[in-house]
Amino acid sequence: MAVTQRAWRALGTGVVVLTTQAEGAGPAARAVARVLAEVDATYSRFREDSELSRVNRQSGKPVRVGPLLYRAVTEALRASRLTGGAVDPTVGATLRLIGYDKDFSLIDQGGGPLGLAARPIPGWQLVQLSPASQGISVPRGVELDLGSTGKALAADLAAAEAMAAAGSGGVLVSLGGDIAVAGEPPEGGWRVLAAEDSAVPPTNQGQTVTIIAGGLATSSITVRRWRRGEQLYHHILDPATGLPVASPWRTATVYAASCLDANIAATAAIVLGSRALPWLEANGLDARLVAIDGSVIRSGRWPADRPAEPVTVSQAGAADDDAMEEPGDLRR
Amino acid sequence: MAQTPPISPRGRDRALGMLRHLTVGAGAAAALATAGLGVLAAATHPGTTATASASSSKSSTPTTSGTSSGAVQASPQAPSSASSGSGQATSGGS
Repeated sequence: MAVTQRAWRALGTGVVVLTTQAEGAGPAARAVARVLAEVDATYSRFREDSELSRVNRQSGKPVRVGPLLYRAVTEALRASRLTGGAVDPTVGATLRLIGYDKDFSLIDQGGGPLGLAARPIPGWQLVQLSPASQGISVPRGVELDLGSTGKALAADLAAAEAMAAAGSGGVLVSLGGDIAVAGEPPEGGWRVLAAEDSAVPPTNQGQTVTIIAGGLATSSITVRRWRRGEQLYHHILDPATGLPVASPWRTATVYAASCLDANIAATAAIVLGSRALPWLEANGLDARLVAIDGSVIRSGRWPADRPAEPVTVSQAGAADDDAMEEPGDLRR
Repeated sequence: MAQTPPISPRGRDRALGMLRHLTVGAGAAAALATAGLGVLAAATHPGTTATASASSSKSSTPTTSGTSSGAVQASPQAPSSASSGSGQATSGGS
């Protein structure tokens, strides 16, 4: 079965859409672009006109929001609850303080030292949701960031929309390495390279697994790093200190029932550090952890690495962007 | 010791009727109090809420299954070592 690929950039990261039916490739890619445009306009922390920025600006009072932001915040709080606060959306102001205050490609890589002291982040328990009025309220000075769970939720939503648009067969959507699949997988399943950097080609050396449903996500402190003075920063924060987490793991990849849940678990694994393996096992999750020294630890049913094998995959129409109309509008 | 006068059949029926009313009233009050406390808790408890499904909105964005449960949901299927399969994607940090 030939698989058709479309690829472009949106939400500050790479987007890949694979379809098993060639005729579904264009409609699926357009559907994904529509979802990502809506996501960008709704909960980008870097857009002044996004709904999320409005909530952050109006901290201290309830703000009525649309269904997508309400859902995204609800899911982010669920992630906090399920991980004991290891994944927490109240990191917005802290991310800004450590220099992640704009799209990553625009971050000042050569700035002076920040001299920050450890200070816990405000905490997800402070976020108030009002189901009746669909309102969100955060205390004065607290800012939300949905970067972690928001992207994975977008992948799940985009895959569902893409599948509906394609009409038959199956689809895979990857947003910067957060992968969601829907519909009928290709024979043998979808091949996914478990890497540390989502920018590497899927034909690179490394462990490749096949999945047939749900989602697979990776969190890593080896990417999205920047330097201020002598200090190296990355984007995964320890809620207890408000500083980039010092984890025994540099990368965590998790396969779960949805991309969102895979992402929640992958990010939590990095933050939980030495407590990650018992937590993953307790939740019955299949995961691959890469320690700081490069050694690999597996959890659940994650398969052992196999020797590298030749790639025999046929990809028709790779990087064929002819059908794309929106991607240029999605950059931030 | 003073003897309690016998209750007439009419008096007994009246007493039973009052008891019935009291029981029904207490039940209704308990149900109302439970509902009221539930609404109050849902409106004020921080960080937890019923899920707001996008399907009930005007948004074009659909809902997905399995994202609103009370636990991180493992996949029913295990990932397999790739000896076959189609399509290629990379999962990694970004």
